[in-house]
This record gives sequence, C-alpha cells and structure tokens, in this order.
Amino acid sequence: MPRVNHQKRSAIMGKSDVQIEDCSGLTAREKPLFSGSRRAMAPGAEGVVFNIQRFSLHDGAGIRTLVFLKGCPLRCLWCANPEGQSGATEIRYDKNGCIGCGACIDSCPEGAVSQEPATGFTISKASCRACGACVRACPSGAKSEWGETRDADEIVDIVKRDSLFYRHSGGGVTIGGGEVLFQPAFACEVLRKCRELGLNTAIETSGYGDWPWLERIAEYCDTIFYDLKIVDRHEHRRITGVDNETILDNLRALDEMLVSRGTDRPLHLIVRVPVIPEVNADTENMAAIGTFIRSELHNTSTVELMPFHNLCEQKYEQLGRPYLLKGRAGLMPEKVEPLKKTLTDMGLNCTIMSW
Amino acid sequence: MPGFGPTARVEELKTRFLTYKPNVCIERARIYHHLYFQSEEVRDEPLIVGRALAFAKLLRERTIYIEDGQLIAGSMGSRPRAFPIYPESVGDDLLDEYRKLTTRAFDRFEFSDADLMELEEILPHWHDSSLRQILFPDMDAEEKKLFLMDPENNIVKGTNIFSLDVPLYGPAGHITPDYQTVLEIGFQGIKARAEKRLGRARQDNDKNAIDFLRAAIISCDAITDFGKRYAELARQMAKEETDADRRAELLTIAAACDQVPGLPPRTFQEAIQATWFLFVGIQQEAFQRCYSVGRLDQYAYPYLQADLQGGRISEERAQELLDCFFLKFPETNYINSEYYSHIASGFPSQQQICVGGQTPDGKDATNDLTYMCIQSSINTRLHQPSLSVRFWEGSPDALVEKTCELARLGTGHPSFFNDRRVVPGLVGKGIALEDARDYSSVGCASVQPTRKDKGSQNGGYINFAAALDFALHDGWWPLGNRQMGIKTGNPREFTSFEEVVEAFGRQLGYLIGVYSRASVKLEKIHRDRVPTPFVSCFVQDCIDRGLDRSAGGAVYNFGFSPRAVGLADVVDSLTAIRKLVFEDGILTMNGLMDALDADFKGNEHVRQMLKAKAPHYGNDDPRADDIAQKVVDIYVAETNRHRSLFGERFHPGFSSVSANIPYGTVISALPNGRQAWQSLADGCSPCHYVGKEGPTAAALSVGKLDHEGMTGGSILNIKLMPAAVAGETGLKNFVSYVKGALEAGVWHVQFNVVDSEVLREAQAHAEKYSDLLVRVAGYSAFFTGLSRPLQEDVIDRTEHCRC
Ligand code: SF4
Ligand code: SF4
Repeated sequence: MPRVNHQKRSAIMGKSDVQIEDCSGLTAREKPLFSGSRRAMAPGAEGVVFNIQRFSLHDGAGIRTLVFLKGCPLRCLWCANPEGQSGATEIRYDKNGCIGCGACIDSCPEGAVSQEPATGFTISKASCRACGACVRACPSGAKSEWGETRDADEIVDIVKRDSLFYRHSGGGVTIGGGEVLFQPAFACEVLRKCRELGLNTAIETSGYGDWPWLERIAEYCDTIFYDLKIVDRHEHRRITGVDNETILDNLRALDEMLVSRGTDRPLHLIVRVPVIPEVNADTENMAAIGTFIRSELHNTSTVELMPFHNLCEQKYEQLGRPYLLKGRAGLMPEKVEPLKKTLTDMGLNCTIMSW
Repeated sequence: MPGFGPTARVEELKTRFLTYKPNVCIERARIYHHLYFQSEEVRDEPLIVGRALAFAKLLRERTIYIEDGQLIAGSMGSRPRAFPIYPESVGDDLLDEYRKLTTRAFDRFEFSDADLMELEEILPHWHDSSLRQILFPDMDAEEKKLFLMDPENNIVKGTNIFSLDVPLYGPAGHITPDYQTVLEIGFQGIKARAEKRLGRARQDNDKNAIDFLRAAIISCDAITDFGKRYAELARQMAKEETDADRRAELLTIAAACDQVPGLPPRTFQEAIQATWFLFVGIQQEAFQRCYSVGRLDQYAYPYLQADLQGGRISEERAQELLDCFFLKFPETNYINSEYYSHIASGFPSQQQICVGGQTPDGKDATNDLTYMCIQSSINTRLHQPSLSVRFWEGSPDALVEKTCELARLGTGHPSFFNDRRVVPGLVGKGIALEDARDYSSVGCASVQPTRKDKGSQNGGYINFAAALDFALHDGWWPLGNRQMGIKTGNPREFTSFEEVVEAFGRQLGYLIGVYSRASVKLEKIHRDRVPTPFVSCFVQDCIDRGLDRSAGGAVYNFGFSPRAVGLADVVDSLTAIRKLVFEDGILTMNGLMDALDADFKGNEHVRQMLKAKAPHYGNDDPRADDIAQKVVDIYVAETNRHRSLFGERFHPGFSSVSANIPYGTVISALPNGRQAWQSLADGCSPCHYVGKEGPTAAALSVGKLDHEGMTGGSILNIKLMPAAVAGETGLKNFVSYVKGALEAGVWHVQFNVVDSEVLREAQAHAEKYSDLLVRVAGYSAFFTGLSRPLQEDVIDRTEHCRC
C-alpha cells in the first residue's frame, strides 16, 4: 500500500487542524467535569448517559446492553458518536422529525432558537444553556436531550432486564461512550454492581485517563476493548487532539495486569483499531501498531479492525456541528484485508468487524 | 445427523416449480355438477352419503399425473399449481372474482376462456349452496349490521369490523387428523372399523350414525382406489420409460401406491406417500385452507428407522425423498377473492408440518427425522410447507441451532413454538395433559391436540381497534358513518382513565357477543350442509361415536375462534391517553377528541405528542405493558363468557396474517397518533417504528401476556438484518436470543432475516428476485408477488438490528 503523503492528508485535515486546536481545549461547560469534579466523586455517583442500547451484538461476548457515557477528551474526526464528546447535556435537533410548529422558539428563555430556511429550527450553541425548555415544548421529539443524569442503580435496573438473554449468550453489559474514563467513578460503580449480579462486564475505552481509575475499573471487567489509533505521537495529537503517551502507558499497564489477574476470572484485553482511509489505513501505521503490540505488550495478541463507516453523519447535523468526513463512502470490510494480513503476519490474532 | 444438501433432482424439481403458473382446474366443479344436476345417483341419498359419493367420483374420474423426476405421486388438480373449484360450499360467490383471475393485480391465475365459460354455466346452479347465502339470511339484524357493509343489498362485502373469513368458504381446514392410525392400519383397517360400527348402528337403528358410517366406508374405498389409479399410471409410465433408473423409480412408486393408503406402508417412502395421499384427499373433499400434516417426525419416524436399520435406504436417499415430499406442498393453491389477494397475497395456504417438542408422556420428541425436516426446508426454500418447530425445556441445543440455521436463511421458516406456554394453555382449556403435549401447530399461530380435534379453528377476525374507536365515539362508527357499537358514554366527559378502559371493555364484549352468536350459526351450517366424512374417518373418535367431525364426533370439539387485530394500536392509544391526559395533563379529553375527529388535521402537534411523549408497547416498558396485559385479560375474559356449538370455550388469539391492512381502513384516527385508514399493527407485535428497544425487549413485553388464556395463538414477528445472525458468532447469538425469547414466555416467534435495501431493490426489479421469500405476519410468500402496501409493510417493520 502506498504511503499516504502528507499533502493528501492535509487535504482532509486542512480545516480540521484548526478545529482540533479548538476542541482539544474543551468548552467552558465541559472543563470542570474533566478537570476533576466528576472524576473525584465517590462511588455511587450519578453519571451522564446519552444512550442505552439493548440487543447489541458486536461489543463483547453474546447479547449485550451498551451503556454510553457522555464526555470524551479526544476529538477524533471520524467519531461515530459525536454526541458523546461533550460531557454536558446537549440538545439534539432532528430536522426530519420537525413539524415546524415553532413551539421551541417561544419556549426558549435565552432566545437561542431561530428559524433558518435551510436548517430549520436551529439552536445557537453560544446562547443555549441546555435548560430543556424547548425539549419539553417540542411536541414531536424533534428536539430532545442527549445526555441525562442517571443514578447507577437506575442503569443497573435497565441492564438487568435482559439477564436471561445474557445467561443464554454469555453476554452482559458494555460501557462505552464517550469515554468511560471521563466518568470513572460512575463507570466503576455500574460495573461493580453488574458484576455482583454475575453479569459479564466490558468497557470500550480510548485509554486516555488516570491509571488508578483505569486500574480500579479493570478490576470489575471481564473484557476491555482498548482503542489504538496511531502509534506516532505527533500524528496522534494531530488527529485526535491529545497526546498518546498516557494511552500507551495505560495499555502497557493493563497488559501487565492480565497476568496478575490470574485465571479465576481472567481479564481479556482486545486492541481495537479504527481504520480510517487517509488517516491510518496504511500498512505502515498498521505495522507500527503490530510492532508496538508485539514488542511492548506481552500478554495481548487480539486485534479488531473497525473499518470506517459513515452511519453517523446525521448525528453531526442534529448536533449542529460540521462533519469533515461527510459524504465519504464507508470502507468496505474486504478492503481492510491487506491490513489484517499485515497484523496476522506478525502473529497477531486479527478480526475485521464489519459494519 | 449430518444434513444432506439438495440433490440434482431436488434442484431441478424446484427450478421447474418456479416456472409453473397458478391455474384453475374446473374438473372438480364439472364432476360435482354432473353428479348433482345431471344424474340420479345422489338424489335419494342422505346428504352426507351424497358428499361421499361425490368425493369418490371425483377421485375416480379426475385427471392424474406424476411429475417428471418426482418420487411422490398425487396432486390437487389436473396439473401443478392447479386449484380446484368447490361449488358445494362457495356456490357462485366468487364467480365475479374468477372473471378477474387472469387480469387482477395480484395472485393471477391461468384460466382459459372455455373453462371460464363452462363455470359461468355451472356455478349459478349452485347459488343456494354457498355458505354465505345460507348464513347471512339466517342472521339477525344486529349481526348483519356488524358483519356486512350493506346488508340489504350485498352479502359479500364485509365491514372489516368482523369477519368469519375462512369458515365462510368451506367446512374444514385448520385440522390435523390422525395420520398415525392410518399408517398403522391403512384405510382398509379404518373401513373395517366403520363396518363393525355400522352393524351396531343398524341394530340401534341410529339413522345419523348409519348415514355417516356409510359415507365413511365409501370414502375409505375412494381413497384406496385413488392410490391404485396412481399405481396403474406409474406402471404405464414405466412401460414407456427409456431411462432404466427412472423406470425403476416408477415401479417403486407403483408398488407404493398399490399398497397405500389402503394398507399400512412397509417403507419410509410408502409412509410419506400415504401421508401425501391423505393430505390431498382432505383437500379434495372440501374447500379450506390450513390443513396440517402434523407431527410428521413422530409418526413417520418408525418407518425411516426400520429402513435405515434394515439397510433399505441411505440417509441421503431418505433426505431426497423427504425433499420431494416437501416440494409437493407449494403445488397446492387456493383461489382468494381479489380483495383477499390484496391482504394476503402470495398464495398463502399455511400447510403446517410440526416437528420437535415432547411426546405425550413428556419426554423429548426430537429424533433424526426432526432434523431432516428442518434440512428439507433448508433444501427446498419455498413458501410451503410452513414448518413449525416446537421447543420445551428438554429440547436439545442442537435442535435450537439447526432451527436457527434455517431461520437465518431468510425464507421466513420456521415458526418457533413454545411448549411452556402452549401446553398449560391447552390443559387450561380442558384438554388432557398427554393430548396437550401432543399438540400440532395449525394455520399461523394456532395449535390443537393432534388427531383428536374437530379442527376449523380460525373463525375469522375481530377488529380490536374498532372496540376502541367505538368507545371513543359512544358506539358510533366514524368511517362507516353509523351506530355500530353500544352506548358507552361521551368520551369528552370521561374523567378518569378507568372510564376509558371500561368503555373499551364493554364495546369489545359486545362485539365478541355478536361474533359468537354468528359463529355458532355457521358451525350449525357446517354440520347440516357440508359434513366431511372422509377426514372424519381419521379424526378420533368420529367412527366410534358414529358422528361426523362437524357434528361433534371428535374427542375435542372446539369451535371457530376469533383472532383479534390491532393489539399494539389499542395498547399504545390507551397508554397515551393515560399518560398525556390523566397523568401529565398536557392534553384534555376534549382536545384529544377534537384532534381525532379532525383526523389530526390542524392538530399535527397533538399527533406528534401522542407518538413522542407516551411509552409504547413492545419496549419492555411496564408503563405500556401493564395496559397490554389488561386489555388481553379483558379479551380473554370476554371470550370465555361464550361457548361454541358443542359447549367448548373459544381459543382467542392475536394473529392478523395480513388483515391488519384492510382492518385499518375502517378505523378512524387513534390516540397513538395513527391516522384514519392506516394499517394496524400485526399479530401481537409492537407497532412499526416504536420497537426502539429491540428484539429482547419485544420478547419480554410479549412474554408478559396471558398466553394460556389466548390459546388461539399470537404471532411475534422479529425482523433481523442478516448481519446480526451471520457467521458462527451470529448463529450463537441467534440461538441465545431464541432461547431467551422462549424463556421470556412468547407463544410463538418467527423471523424475517432480510435487509430493507434488498427489499427495495426487489421492489424495483421483481424479475431478479422471484424466489425472494418473506415471512409476512404468519406465512411465507414470494416478496415480489406481494401487493405494494404489503411490501411496504414488510420493509417498515421495526428494524431490530443496529449493526
Ligand atoms: S435548551 Fe433551553 S436554552 Fe437551549 S435552546 Fe432549548 S430552551 Fe433554549
Ligand atoms: S418545537 Fe419541535 S417540532 Fe416544533 S418547530 Fe421546534 S423542533 Fe420543530
């Protein structure tokens, strides 16, 4: 595979460079969350959840319920869950579901909603305080909230409902997001309770967070899906907005943990690589990832490749945010075969997760 | 047991089948007409004997053929996919329809002008035989008003508030007779029993019994001789056959047909040949749909086992034979009215084969033949027969796996039946435990004790949503513009949710009351006008009792039972009223009624609120599911207040087939945001687009309902994208889902594993997808043969896979 040259990359990244600069620093509302107030909360804390998805089949063993936590310090430009990035509640506007009644305009105390010919009843991010008045006023559900503060017990109650399906399938709960480490105490509590119920537990994480928290969370996990996007530090920063030093350190530490955990209830660590054309979908990057796993991890050899898809386009629109990969075709899983081969040739156990 | 794929013969038979066009065969009408109107033969005979004589004459005189390459002989008409005409129960009701058969939009038939002309000549003589012509004049004014759109002038056009549907066209159907006994003693053995019993009847001078038993004896000989005609034909063909292998096959067929069904089969081939003759026979005798082969894997297994042990057959050859048997089913056709072809297009006939489950003494019934039947469905992949697989606590994992392998092919087969709900349900209806354990599926989601049930279970539909429509209009029928229900008060004055539910319950109770009166009348007409002595020969204990099944000769004599249509619409509507009007107070009854009466015109915001701000049934949400439980309880309690002709309770159910589409056309706007004329939800499935929580939640919601009360069965349709069940992991998850759904307590579940893109593509390029099978609420059909609204319906069904 030819090396992707930098010019070509900047063709897509051109504008995003600016944006990444912007969002690697978080907005005023998000910042306090990240800088500690939520993280420091005692177990039993409430958390902000933006989706709970039952009958999920592709994030761990068996039939699972996925709990999506809100908030993520990374800003990957291909993010499939953009509504999970901000830690605060956001208002979603689904133009297709809108009947144009105007109730949202009338209800907004901030005057944040305006009617635009092309985009409908849009919200000005600058003025919106996410008070939810427009959501309550909206008859059709076209305005709705992304992110709801919920109690750990509440979440566990919902997760529990599919217990009999977990029992037959070996499934359970997977916590993803957003970023699990963005609300570590809450994640920990939900996992602990699920585990008490004997459910299989998993998380999906970017690995960007404090090791002590990750260590504690890992204690309650059967499986950890760990994102590894790019090994090159600068490239990683450019593409995701953050450095990967912590990520790689945490991954090494987790890998160590696999051994200390023992065989009683073993921990499984699976490296997940999002495969994004013109970003990291080259053999060179894949070889770097393979080399890292081979040389620096001693107990991990399973990799899942996640070919890029564009099923999330609409969500960016509903958030009123630009999407730089808009209109781009999804990557056909078979196209990823050569990358898979790169990894299998290195002795890794690699699967392509089709979308 | 390894599964053997289709042989070249099976592939060829299937390919050839796909080229056959449905066609009309008028021989049956001609032969019956000749007997009744142009001869003296039946003039002085009792009605039932006349019917047996007609059956015998038909089997003696009609054209027969053996298809090239087929190993099983016997067919419905003079060529494949031929549909016979049944003047003795349908009269000239459908004459208008027959005229349109070659040109109508769906389910067209080949039908020559000469044949049509002959029918035009024949059928008017049979005008008074139509069950409809007999029933409707016998109805009281109230029944007429509820059943017929224009009772004074037209007895064909129904209201879609009710129908008696299936039993209005013929006397039998929905029946699983006693194949096992026929295999054990042959029809000559049955005849011997009948003769013995006739002797006693003569001593007792029991006129009814004498007539019935004479008719039974005539029928036994008729079916025996029918087999012999095929033996003769096979020998003839063998003489002319140049290929030595085929000649040998024809001679084997000849030997089989000499033996069965008169005498007990000696081999597996003869056992399934006998079964096929009986199956054809019951459909020659009378018009109905939903005849069942029942527990083939139970009664035919000993013959297979003996052949395998004796080295007379290889497993591969046995599979091929069974595949050939399966390929006979889609040859069977029914003519539906043009109207019905819109609602249930795709030539549905719901011929069930039911495998797995437990034995009468409560042991696991799974055997090699169970797996082979599933394999045959995999090998043939056609819309018929409908395969059902029963599951109970003791079913082996391998059975669930094999069944899921079939289900994920996307042919819509099989139906998964849940013994955990069915067996206690049947016991609760007074059926002995061992008979309940020996149940077979019939029709879509119904069940009955095999061999001992009178049959004829589907007694048409009741529009569940109509009860709500009437409750919201004080008994007035907005779209029909007349008073239909009873007076239950002005809804604008309701001050509590309980008043709404009570009004609904009373309207439903009223509808069910009128329905039961009419259905008992129709049962009497079946008894008095269209007895079925042939099939009664092998329904226990008709011979012993000396009574036709229609006269109560069976061990169990349940009557027709209603299927309700629109459960999810009613539940979501009531839930929305409770939440928005009586809990949150965002709406008033007045505001709601204004919006409904305007069909939401100028009230779109109200419609949106009703949809968006209330919980929905099917999401495992107690705030909607408790109402579902409540309305099901009302339905069960109301049906339990009535009795069939023979004093049994009804088997109420929720299985709409496709009646949810026409039944929606008579219902005005509902408080779940559904606008007037739109389709209702199918079976007991959630409304389209609201199944947000996915298939696990749907199964949990449905599992909460009182299925033991709803022994008429209820269908849960789950649509899955192929990706969800692909590969080894997909299969494993699919298996787990099925196990979970059964444990959650669904009565029945079936899957539509197909993606909507494929379906859209198929809409655009029908020719490329002529073998694309879809399960549409209770049956499988060819997708491209479906009407446009039905296609849309399939596509819209809640997408459950988020992958
Ligand atoms: S959430 Fe509140 S502030 Fe934001 S747009 Fe809606 S009403 Fe206005
Ligand atoms: S209230 Fe809702 S439906 Fe009405 S204009 Fe605003 S977003 Fe659209």
